[in-house]
Amino acid sequence: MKAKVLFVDDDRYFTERYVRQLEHHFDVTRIQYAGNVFEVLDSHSDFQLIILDVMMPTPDGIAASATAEGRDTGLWLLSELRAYIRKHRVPVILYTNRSDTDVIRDSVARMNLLDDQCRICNKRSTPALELSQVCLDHVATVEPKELS
Amino acid sequence: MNQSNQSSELSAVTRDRIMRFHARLLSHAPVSPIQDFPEICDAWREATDADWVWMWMYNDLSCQWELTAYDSKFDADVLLTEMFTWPDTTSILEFVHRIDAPVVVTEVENWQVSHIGEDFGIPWIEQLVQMGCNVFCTVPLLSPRSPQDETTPGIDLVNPIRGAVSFHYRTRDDFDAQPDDVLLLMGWLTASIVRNSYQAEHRSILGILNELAEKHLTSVRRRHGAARGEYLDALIALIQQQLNTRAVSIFYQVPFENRVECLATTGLCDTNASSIISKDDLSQVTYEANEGLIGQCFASGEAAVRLRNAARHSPKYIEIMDGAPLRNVAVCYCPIPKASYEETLPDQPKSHGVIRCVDPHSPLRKEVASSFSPTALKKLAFIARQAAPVLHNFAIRVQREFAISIIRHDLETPLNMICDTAEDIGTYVDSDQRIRWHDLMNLKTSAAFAQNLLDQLDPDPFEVADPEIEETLLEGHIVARLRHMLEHFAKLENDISIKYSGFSGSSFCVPPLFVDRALVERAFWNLLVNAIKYSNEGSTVEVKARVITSGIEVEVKNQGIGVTPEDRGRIFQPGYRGRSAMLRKQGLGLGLSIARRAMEKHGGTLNLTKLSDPTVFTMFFPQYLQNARWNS
Repeated sequence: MKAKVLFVDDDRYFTERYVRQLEHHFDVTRIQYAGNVFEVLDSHSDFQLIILDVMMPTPDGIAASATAEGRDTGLWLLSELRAYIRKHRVPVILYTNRSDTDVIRDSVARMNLLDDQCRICNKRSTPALELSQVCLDHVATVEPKELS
Repeated sequence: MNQSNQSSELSAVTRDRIMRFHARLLSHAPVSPIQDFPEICDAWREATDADWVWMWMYNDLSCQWELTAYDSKFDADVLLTEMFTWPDTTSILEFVHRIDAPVVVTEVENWQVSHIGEDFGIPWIEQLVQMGCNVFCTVPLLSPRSPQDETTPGIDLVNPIRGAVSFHYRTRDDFDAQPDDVLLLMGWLTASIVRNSYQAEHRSILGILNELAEKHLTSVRRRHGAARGEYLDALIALIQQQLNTRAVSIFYQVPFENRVECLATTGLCDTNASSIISKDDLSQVTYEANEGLIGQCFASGEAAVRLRNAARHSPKYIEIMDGAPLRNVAVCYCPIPKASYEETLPDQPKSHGVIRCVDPHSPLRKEVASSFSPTALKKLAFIARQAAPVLHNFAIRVQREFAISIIRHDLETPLNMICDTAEDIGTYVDSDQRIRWHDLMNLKTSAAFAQNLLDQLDPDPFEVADPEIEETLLEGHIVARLRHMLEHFAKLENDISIKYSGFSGSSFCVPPLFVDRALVERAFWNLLVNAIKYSNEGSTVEVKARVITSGIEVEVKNQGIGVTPEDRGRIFQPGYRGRSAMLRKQGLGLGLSIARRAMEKHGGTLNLTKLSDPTVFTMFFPQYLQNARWNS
């Protein structure tokens, strides 16, 4: 049985190939609207990996400043999911076009997650063909398990 | 009631004192009202040999005269606290309001109501009696009014000076009446010194503000928000110190919106929930134009004050101090003005923001004041005017930084797709000896997105000097070029299909037009990509052309998030994005404005003809575009 992955990215067209590659190894659930993530996690708590884009529209009801007008929505989401992620020991990959990964890393460091639980990957340096292997490696690092 | 002497010979002693008065004031180098006004009162005391001298200034916003200064020998600590409680400074409203010539009041204790034919009293007369005053004279400080003064709203920075000096005697015999013209001349000179004093203080504040701006505007930060935050903190500290006020909040316009949000504050709480607003939640503290006093100040560009205990003043958010809300305090609202060159449409606010100051302390009595002094208000207006361009600069930077991050993202995304697709192709092209259609379309579509983004960074299409006019078939040259890419994108983005009709194959097929193909293609692309992005999943986008008497119409229809009535008037504004669009996708908000300008370059139009169910945008190409020489 394939491991379940939650893939959160508002861009459907441009992420089609990432999902296509992931589907070789994972059972992928896609979410385009960041506001829907909580509802999905409430009803499905068996995701073994969460992949989050960083730049996404700010969900309705959330102050634009909380997500830096959408530039940090993925970080905001990660912060909101901290408790869930820690409790279920779910590895996370922040998969982004942003080049300032050092700034992202500083933000993640302040969230007090488990060591190495969150990995930051740039879409340019981790292209679609390599994404699956990166995901497999990360899942194995955080929660060593047999994965198909 | 006695009047002052209209004319008499001055004694040598008096003449000498008056000459020394003029020499003293003319040689005085002004620094600030708080230092200069007591000096002025001292000069008057010496010239008139009075027991004490007060200076009054008129407060433009609270419409009251206020005791602003007294001479250095006046024992304020004893006389203004122990003997009686100094009333709210509205007391002298009627009396001083009317004077334009010196007025002498003798036998203060027996002074009766009557003056210039009207009933009014001097409400503080009892206090003067208690202080032992027997005679006093009040001289107006007059300065010329310019015609603009009557029509200029808000806080007048330095002109005209509306003030008065009153000098008091305990003993009638000490009072040496002087001619009106002598006293008026002294008043005019004093008014001039007062104006110079305001200006001197404003100049020193200007130095501080310029230093702040220099420091924070030029500082290099990864996120300039930090620089802006430091500037705002320093600005608030300056306002607190200069106005002797305990709490300050700065509100500024949300970009493209007719509302303000709180940028910085000494502390706020929600009056309903009584919960303190944290720094991270400050952007939720907003007022619409004309909502409450903040909104009114923002919309009208006019300052306002609310005095202590004013009724019906219940703002949504109030300042706190030491954790406790500051209720029933004096509050001042000062607009942050727009630049004089900025165009303001009738339905747009007249200012960019508001500075709200709360709970002033009186510089005279070292306690909470009932209002803001005239000098404080002039200072605040000056500070707001000087800070305005700096805050505007920061606002532009915020928008620019946001735009740059969107541009990077929107360029990086298709370029990554091109790279990834090329890598995909590399895995099979040797063996298959062909490229898969899906990958080919990915390459073409991604390249088109990247090119379109670069086009969006171009100046306004209307500024293109010479469009390249060539014979163009809307279907053959525009639709055909974009069709496959758009259909590929539409299918994968939202499972959308696109249906074209009316371009050809009927008796009214669309004739060739002489247009700039790149501009028209840009308009088509922007409209169709919008339609696809904001459509309901699985729906159909329709593109329908029809020939009418006056030209050609092309409608783009989609079933999707629609456009709200509130957004209708602004949707073509560069940079503006509707709320529902912002929830769906990030973007620059330039697509529709560019598309419209591209059509206008040809004398055509682009309009939103239906808001929703379906949303319809209509392009109109005038009939003369069928003529090859229309542009010559």
